[in-house]
Amino acid sequence: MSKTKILVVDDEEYIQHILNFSFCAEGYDVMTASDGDEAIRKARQERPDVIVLDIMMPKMDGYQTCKKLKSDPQTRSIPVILLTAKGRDVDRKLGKEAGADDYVVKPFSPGRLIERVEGILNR
Amino acid sequence: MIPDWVAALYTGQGLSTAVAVAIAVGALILAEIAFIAIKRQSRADRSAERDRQRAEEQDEIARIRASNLARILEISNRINANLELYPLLNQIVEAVRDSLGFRMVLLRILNEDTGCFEAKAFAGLDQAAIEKLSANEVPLATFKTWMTEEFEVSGSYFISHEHEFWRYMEDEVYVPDLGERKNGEWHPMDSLFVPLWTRDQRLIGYLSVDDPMDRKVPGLETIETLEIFANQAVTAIENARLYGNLEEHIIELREATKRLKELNEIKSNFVATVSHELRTPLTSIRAYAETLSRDLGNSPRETELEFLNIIEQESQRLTSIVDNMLELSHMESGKVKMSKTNTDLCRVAEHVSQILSPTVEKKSIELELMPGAEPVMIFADEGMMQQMILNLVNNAIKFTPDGGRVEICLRDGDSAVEVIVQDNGIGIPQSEIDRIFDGFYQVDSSATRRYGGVGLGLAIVNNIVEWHDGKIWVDSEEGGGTCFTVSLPKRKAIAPADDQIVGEPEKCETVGEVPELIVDMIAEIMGAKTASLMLLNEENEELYVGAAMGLDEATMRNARVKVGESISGWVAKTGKPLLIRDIEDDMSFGRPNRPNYESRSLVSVPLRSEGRVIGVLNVTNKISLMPFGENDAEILEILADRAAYILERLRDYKSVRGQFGAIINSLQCLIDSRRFAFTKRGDETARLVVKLGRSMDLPEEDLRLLRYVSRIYDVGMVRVGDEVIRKRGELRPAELESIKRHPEEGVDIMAPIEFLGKVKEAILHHHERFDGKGYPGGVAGEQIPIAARILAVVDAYESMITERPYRNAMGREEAIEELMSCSGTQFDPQVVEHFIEIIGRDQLIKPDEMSMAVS
Repeated sequence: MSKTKILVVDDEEYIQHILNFSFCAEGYDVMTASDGDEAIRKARQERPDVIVLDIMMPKMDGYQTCKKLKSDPQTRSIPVILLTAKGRDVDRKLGKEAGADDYVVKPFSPGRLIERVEGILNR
Repeated sequence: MIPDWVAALYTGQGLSTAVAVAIAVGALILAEIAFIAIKRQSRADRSAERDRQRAEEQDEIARIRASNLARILEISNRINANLELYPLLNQIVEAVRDSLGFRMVLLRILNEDTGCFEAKAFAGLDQAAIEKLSANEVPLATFKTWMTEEFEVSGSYFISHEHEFWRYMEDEVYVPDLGERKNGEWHPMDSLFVPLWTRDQRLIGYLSVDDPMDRKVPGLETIETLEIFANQAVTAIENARLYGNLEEHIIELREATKRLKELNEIKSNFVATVSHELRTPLTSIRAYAETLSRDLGNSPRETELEFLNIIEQESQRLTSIVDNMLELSHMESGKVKMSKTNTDLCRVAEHVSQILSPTVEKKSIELELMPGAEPVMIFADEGMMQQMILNLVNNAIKFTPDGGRVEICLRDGDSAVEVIVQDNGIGIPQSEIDRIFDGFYQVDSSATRRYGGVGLGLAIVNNIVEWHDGKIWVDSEEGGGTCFTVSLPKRKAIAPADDQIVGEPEKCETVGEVPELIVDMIAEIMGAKTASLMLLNEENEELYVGAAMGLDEATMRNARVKVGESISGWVAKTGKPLLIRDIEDDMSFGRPNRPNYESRSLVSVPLRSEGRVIGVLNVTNKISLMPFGENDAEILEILADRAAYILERLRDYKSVRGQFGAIINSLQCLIDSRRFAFTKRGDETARLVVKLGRSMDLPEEDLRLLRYVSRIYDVGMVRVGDEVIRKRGELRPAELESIKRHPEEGVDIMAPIEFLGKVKEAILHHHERFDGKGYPGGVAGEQIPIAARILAVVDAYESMITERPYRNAMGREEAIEELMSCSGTQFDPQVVEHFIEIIGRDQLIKPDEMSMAVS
């Protein structure tokens, strides 16, 4: 069985790095992107099984990126988990509207994020 | 005759004559009152043959009464309907004229600030009379001399021409031409006035009537009706004042609310940004720490070390965000104490490049410092200068790719020093330039990560520049590098007081800076954005700028004004002070045509020396954005006298040579004492002090001085060390001693520039105690000057309700209780009593307290 592919999108270098490390340790095949455009491009090319997407990013933010992914027939079916620095109801609502499948509030625990990702993949 | 101003000309002789005459003719008045009584009596005595005639007369009286009543009712209704004071007052005086049969009526209202009655409504007076009456104001004290028992009829005062009361004042009173008058008829020199008393027995004005149509001296009934009209006027004035106050408060509240709303918005944006900025490093720390602890021992050692390293870096980033935020909020709250010294910016810039050399090497950036050989001196806070240059250079390095170039260039100009930091880095897009000085703003928020820092550096620089009255601007192009320029206004190096300028005449160019210090001192004391001192060139009748603060150099150089022209010229010509609350509302001088002259509110007063006008002092726009008022004009006049005194002393150059340093030092201390005031309630102290003085019936001249003294009395504190003032714990005996010396230090500071003993005494004794146990003199009771006793109470109160480094602020009620418990020992009981009364009346919430409650 081939490895599960995950795409981690965050403009913050350290966060990319630790997520890469954590998911690799769990046996994932990890790809990273630093902004929305790169994320969409890699999603189309690499067809990951799941995407972890940060919201507060320059240029195109996480919501916009998520909307684009969800409106593109090529990437529509890929589950998206949003990373948000805000934990307020309005953000959850925005996430839902953008078509996200789940969200995790920063600062998060990598262990918990992995659980969420697995939960989504097993659904 | 309409009594007018008589105050200034009121010689002692005139007064005693008037009193003597008054007593001698007192009998006349009694006779007259008896006559009125008899007239009434005889009315009751009906003889048969005069019945019919009498009945007609009664009818007539009833008709007049009915018409008067109707008039009074009408006015009552208007009072309720119309809150515009002056039209209503005019209606009242017209009603008095029409229904009571006086051809001329004048109403004067007491201006509480000046203590004079001002003419406010007229009936039956021609333009010339109105102008004359308006120009002349009647001081309260003068009016009180008219209100003697001898002249009293009912609640009013009738001064018959036979008293010859106005004999010495004929030029100053308004005497109408009434034609020939027989004995017993109303005489042009007769006067009748009705005081306007409020319900709580405050005198707020008076009505004055002249020329009765029936030519008769009015009877008691007429006078009583007149008093009813007077009462109506009182109600009208009181209502209008209440309404006016209310409206003022509504405007204040509205503005405060608007400000709060804006602040709130800024604050919520700020909170959102801060929380994001804080969460980002926290997220890394948490993620790495958790991963590390879960996998401890399973990962290679290098990985574990790398993780620890990241955690440490991110913790440092958190710390620096918090530090910067604290620094910024500290600066923005205005609590920073600057200590300005003569600072060499070259040395500071060199130090900065040393601090940054590791970073510079790491990025192989070429950092070049381009000062000349000469030091570039500026009177500034050295620590702040270092931080400013450090932040600018750090910023430049951050946004410049490896191998790039950063230049620091210092330019020493005549009036300003420029610090220029230029890089050839990534530049700033045009659309973003306006926002870069806002806290937490980086064009590309990922830049925070890529380039480090938290976007607070420029906000801090901006604050430092503002604290030094400087300017900062930026030229940048995306991809084409960035150039920041800071321009700091220059002030020549200040010689310390004991610097031996004496005996070295060649060093005397320092005279040149005295006018600058004078305008600086004036701007500080007045809380004005700009101040200028214009001097008169008598040869060509032109005023030129001798020194200015807050004006740019071009404006200063070009500002020459002919005597008689524009505002300063008018003031120089007439020798009269001029107050323009809001230039939009006062177009008599037109708008100054220079667009960079953005005055809205201004005060301009003449500088006089030995009676001659030698120049003009101007201040414009308060820092608080409130308009200037009469009080400000008064203080500026007092300061103008000091400025003229100093300038006069400088003229006689040789005789003051030894005191140059002292004069400069005095001015600098005054400036510092205002600039670094620990509380921002200084003006509140001044307000309360004057109010208290007025409530205690101090003479006007003393009130004027008190208004000035209340802004400077603590000047001696600048000589107490900062570490002592801010000390939290208990003071050591030596420290306590140094604080106790501040009244004497204050007098010492003021001596070279203050010529009034009264002022110095108030400063010297403001810490005396009523029981004689205070300092420095141990003077007791009424031997302490009244001004000092008043200052002691207000100072103690203000200090108690303000937060100090060593204790929290006390509540107002608690502070009052404290004053009461020290009344008679520490404080003059009478002063305390008056103060409590004033505070009691002062209960409306001030907007500044509101914002304090919210922030």
